[in-house]
Amino acid sequence: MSENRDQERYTGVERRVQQVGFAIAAALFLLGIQLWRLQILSLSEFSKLAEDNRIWQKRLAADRGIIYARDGQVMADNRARVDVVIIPGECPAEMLDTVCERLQSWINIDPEDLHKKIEAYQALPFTQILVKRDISRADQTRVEENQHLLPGITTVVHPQRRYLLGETAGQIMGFLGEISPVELERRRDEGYFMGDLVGKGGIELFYESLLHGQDGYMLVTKYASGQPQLRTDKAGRPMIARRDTIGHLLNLEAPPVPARSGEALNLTLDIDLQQKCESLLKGEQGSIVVLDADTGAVLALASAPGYDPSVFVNRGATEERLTLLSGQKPNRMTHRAFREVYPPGSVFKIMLAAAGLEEKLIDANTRFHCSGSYAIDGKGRRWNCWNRYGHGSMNVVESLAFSCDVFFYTLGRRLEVDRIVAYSKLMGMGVLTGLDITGESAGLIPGREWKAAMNKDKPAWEQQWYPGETVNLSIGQGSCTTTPLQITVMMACIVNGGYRVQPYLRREAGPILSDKIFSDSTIDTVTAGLRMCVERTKPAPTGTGNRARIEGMDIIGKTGTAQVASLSHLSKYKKTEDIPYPLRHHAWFTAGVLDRSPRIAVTVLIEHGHAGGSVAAPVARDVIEYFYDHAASKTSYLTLAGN
Amino acid sequence: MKREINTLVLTTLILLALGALMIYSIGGLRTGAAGRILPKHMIFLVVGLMGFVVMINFDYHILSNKIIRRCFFVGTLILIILPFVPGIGVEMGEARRWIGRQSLSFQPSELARFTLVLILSFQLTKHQENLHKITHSIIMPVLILLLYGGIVFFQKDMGIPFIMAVTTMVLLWNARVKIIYLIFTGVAGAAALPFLIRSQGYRSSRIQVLMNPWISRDDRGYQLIQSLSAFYQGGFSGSGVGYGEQKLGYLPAAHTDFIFAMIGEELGLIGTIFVIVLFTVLLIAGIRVVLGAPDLFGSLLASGITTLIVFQAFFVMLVNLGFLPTKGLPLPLVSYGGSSLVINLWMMGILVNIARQAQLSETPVKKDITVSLWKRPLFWIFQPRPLKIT
Repeated sequence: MSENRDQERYTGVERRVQQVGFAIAAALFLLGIQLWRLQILSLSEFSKLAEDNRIWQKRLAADRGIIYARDGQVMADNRARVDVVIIPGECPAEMLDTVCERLQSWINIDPEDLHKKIEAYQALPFTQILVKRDISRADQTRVEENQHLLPGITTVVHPQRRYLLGETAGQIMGFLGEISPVELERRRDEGYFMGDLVGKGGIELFYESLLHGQDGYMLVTKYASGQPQLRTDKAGRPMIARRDTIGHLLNLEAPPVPARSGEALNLTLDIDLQQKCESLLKGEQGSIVVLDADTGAVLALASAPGYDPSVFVNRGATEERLTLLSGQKPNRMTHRAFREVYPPGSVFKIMLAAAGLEEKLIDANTRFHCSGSYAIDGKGRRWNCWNRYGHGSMNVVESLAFSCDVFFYTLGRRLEVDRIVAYSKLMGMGVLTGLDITGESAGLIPGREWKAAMNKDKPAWEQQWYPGETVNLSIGQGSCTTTPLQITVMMACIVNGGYRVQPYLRREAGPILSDKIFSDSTIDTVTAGLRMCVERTKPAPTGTGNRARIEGMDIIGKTGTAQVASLSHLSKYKKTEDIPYPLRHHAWFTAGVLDRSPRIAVTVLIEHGHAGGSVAAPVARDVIEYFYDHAASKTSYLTLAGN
Repeated sequence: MKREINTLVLTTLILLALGALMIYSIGGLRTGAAGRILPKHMIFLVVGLMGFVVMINFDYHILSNKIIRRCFFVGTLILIILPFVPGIGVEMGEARRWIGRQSLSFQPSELARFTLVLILSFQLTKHQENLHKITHSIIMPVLILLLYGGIVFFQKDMGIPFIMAVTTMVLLWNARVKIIYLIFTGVAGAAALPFLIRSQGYRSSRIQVLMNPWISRDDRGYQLIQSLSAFYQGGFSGSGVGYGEQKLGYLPAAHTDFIFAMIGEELGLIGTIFVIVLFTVLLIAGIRVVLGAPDLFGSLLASGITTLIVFQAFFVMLVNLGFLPTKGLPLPLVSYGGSSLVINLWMMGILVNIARQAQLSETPVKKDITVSLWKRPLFWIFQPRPLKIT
């Protein structure tokens, strides 16, 4: 039966077996010693761990701060969002189907879907499973009235951001979104956690730390695999649920520390004016900026087309959200007043005139002759004036009024590029204006350094700045770009007598004014030119900004028509209407009001409007008229004026 | 040999009782399927004990029978391949170690441990005269080890292949293989270990956690920290059976891999030292059986079984104490786990049977008339019966 029965053991087997035995026994002995060390002479870190294990900190999320407009209108607040949840462990098993059916008929949910969810949490029967998010008031009443017929069903109240004005000022509000891992890392010390909603743009992002508030917490005894449940009472106050997800009883360790809501944010925005501006832009792409010229307070910052920030917080708006984020043209997410950049065109001449006067390169009586075109040192390539037939002899006042290009070519050559760049930056172009919002663009005023840096891989002759480029820059063309907000800041500087303002949206953030940049005589001369631009009707020629004129109001202004494509390229089109939309010029008009309080600076930009004087100027006129007829009489302006 | 028999049986029963007590304590506070572990454990315990009794009464030499031996060899091979077959195999986590269904599954690698010991014991005995040749002393056993251990390794299980390797080395040592061969094999095995660890990403990260569990206390180091915390909280006398807190879900796998930590918490240092003492007693009794076995086959078989059980116990305790990465090995005879419990009990039965055979082959002992009465009902089954000698 057995082949090995007779195989005898070799001699010395005892020694070998005993050696192995001793080795294992010694190992077991060492194990005992380690146990002694661990269990009797244990390390202190374990006692702390044991504490941590048993106490659980349940966070009570803080409400976001409310955002108010100038007159106290609420722009963004928090509403109570009511969710229906089911706790399967509190619903008798035989009732479950009935409950699902009732829910289906009362609040219209898919019972199949709910059954699937409940099944997924079978191991944790006391988990709150979301049945329906954000139910209507009627549904809420129905569920709460029939509580006795719906065992295991409760309503939970959460604060939810609400933007009351819809698309109005939507881009300024920005939007909310779940915190990204990178940002979470950065903000962890400020008390942020995974899944928190944070500002993702605009005011919501810039004032995130202000609006976020301080989360509260309550300490709960915790059992291992269960998660403590939070419920709210009918008023939305947080309440601790009696049981955790696996059914253990819970109790509070200490009185809860309530959450502190985020601080309220008071904006300088005038909602009526903002709405008016946005209605004026309807159907166009463009923006309108209205600044209080003396303080820099932003009164309106309209951009079209815009979006409703609610789609980012409300469920069910996924499609709209995706459309917005997909970057379809026209881009609705980009604020065209401070984010998008445009060549300034002729509105740039205001700065050139002021700089020339301040540098004493010209005075009010200096005249240059406009023959319809300009050539450097009278030879070579010719730069045309917009008026082919020439303006004749012009001083600076007339040049501003009729927007003579040749005058400013000559002036630009006298100023030279370095001084043009310096004065642009002084007046707020090509640099960030300092508006308290995220996403502001600086624009670009090209200069020697910029060109050298741009072409540093190329031969030296490409890095060099040429006089012809100065000529282009003199009328705000070439690589030069600015934002409408920057142009408004420049205009405000002329209106308020030579101070560069820093625009601001939060009432407490300003005013911040620079020292006086320009002498009174410079301002007077430039103002005269800009006034003539609007006022002059007779004798011919009329000022280019004539359509902005309002009887009995001292308005100054300047038109701008910024080329997108070169004129030669457009010459093949006979009529303006034939030119394809993307190739048409941008229409600028920037204006100021001198004899009213508060004094304001307005800039209108209509993308591809093609002519500043005829398209943008009437819009600016409407804005100014509306402002002084309706808004300026508000108490909020009177109190500010008193300061 | 009577003393060894009694010791082995008594120790086994105490370990089983301790295991059942701990599983009662751990399962009692759980709800749902996780709480029903005690009835399932009791069923496996009964099945295992039946096998235990059967094995005690069968002459172990039947295992060296050609047909039975080959049945074991081929049958085990088929069984450990089955987990890879879709529909039969069960996948849990990253591992494919089980066959059957999620609710009732069998882990064939537990059986493979025993089959390896059986085949090696037989081969080493058969070729005892030829052990000076490297083919018989090293290459053949290592090939068998690689066959079984390799398949089990691909089930994403590193614990059992390691136990297999150590047991193979012990068997070779006890079979008087030349020491130089053993050193050579040991060095080769040790050199292969880092590659094996690196070949499976999750294992190397477990080793990193082992170096410093606190760097990832909420993630991979969690289990280890909770285990250490359980020992700490137990202190000297423990929190008392049923009063442990780590089992409330802090310590995953409290009833299987980390039952030793739960003993540490609920029964304290007294409990853990008691478990160590029990396994040491098993070891000593096992060694005595090895030395007293009637022939070399029995001797090697006994040493293999003893190593499998005691070394695995030692290994699991090291894991619980954080000296080795977590492996997914149960504490023999104590942990919950059907396959392991049943196979271990059968192996203990074989070990007791070897002791019985040794008793029979000894010069007939005087009838022990001082056997106290309380022992009788417990040991009626172990009365030696006359053995038919062919």
